[in-house]
Amino acid sequence: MSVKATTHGGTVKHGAVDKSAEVRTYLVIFGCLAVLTLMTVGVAYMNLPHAAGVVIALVIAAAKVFLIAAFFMHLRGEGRLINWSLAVCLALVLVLIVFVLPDLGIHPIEDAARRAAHEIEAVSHGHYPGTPPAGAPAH
Amino acid sequence: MSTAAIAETNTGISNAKLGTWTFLASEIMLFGGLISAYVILRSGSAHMVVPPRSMMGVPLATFNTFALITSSVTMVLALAAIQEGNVQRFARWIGCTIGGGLIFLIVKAYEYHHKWEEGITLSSNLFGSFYYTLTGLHVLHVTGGLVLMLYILVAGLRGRFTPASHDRVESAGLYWHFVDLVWVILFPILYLL
Repeated sequence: MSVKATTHGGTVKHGAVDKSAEVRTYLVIFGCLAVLTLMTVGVAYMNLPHAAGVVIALVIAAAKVFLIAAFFMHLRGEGRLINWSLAVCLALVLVLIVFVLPDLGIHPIEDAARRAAHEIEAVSHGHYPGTPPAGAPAH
Repeated sequence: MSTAAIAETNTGISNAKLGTWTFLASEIMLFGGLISAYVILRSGSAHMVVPPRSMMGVPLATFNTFALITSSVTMVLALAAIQEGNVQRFARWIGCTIGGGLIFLIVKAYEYHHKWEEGITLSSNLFGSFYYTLTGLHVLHVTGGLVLMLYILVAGLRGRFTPASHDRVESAGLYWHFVDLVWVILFPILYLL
């Protein structure tokens, strides 16, 4: 079996492909994912309005998902069959969320009030809601 | 992937790859169903009391995110190595992938213990139930992935994979990247929002 040197050290056997360009791309994508992870944590601590924080976090998560799927899972190079099958899956997951969410908008004030009551209770009792106070039997 | 293997299928996609993607599609629906239930209840249920961020251990979860992202890139580097026919480098990168997965599980075990002590339990409220269900299911996937990686490592060292035939490495990689991808979604919705 013939052997030749690659540009990033090591050797390549006969019939193999030099992947050094792809390797560089993977490392760039890794850098992007690391930066996006730091960004999403940073934004969470910026005390932005809740809606803005949610939108930014989800946009960053979507960008990371795209980078992993497109480059690490090689979806960019796949044909229509796989890409469309996955698109249908994602659409069905969105149906699960989007078709139910509008109903939740009907009672937002009551829900917010009940949630606030829970949080006040947690602060006044000094323990996480739903758990017994100190000294009570554990779950 | 061998050309002969592709030529034998009607789709032009190898059976291994098509099977893996079909499995991953079912996984998308599994996690998608649970995540959508979490999002809806988080938006509309008064029983979903989210713990303050200080209780969630964001720095540890961020570290774990880096562990998984790193293991994902080492996995794709392992695939590139076997495509180049470099078994030693392949084994080294698969070893790093296994290391990343192990670090993730160890940190997760510490996190579970700490959260349980803090009062975030399976039965504390809806958040606790979802937290342990979603992350527990993900931990099971990581554990399964590690078993798969060990098999791939041993098979690779025994010379089972070549530049022309490495479908199993590719399939294992797709699965591992999917596990990483799920965590990329779970991290912000459970820890940061």
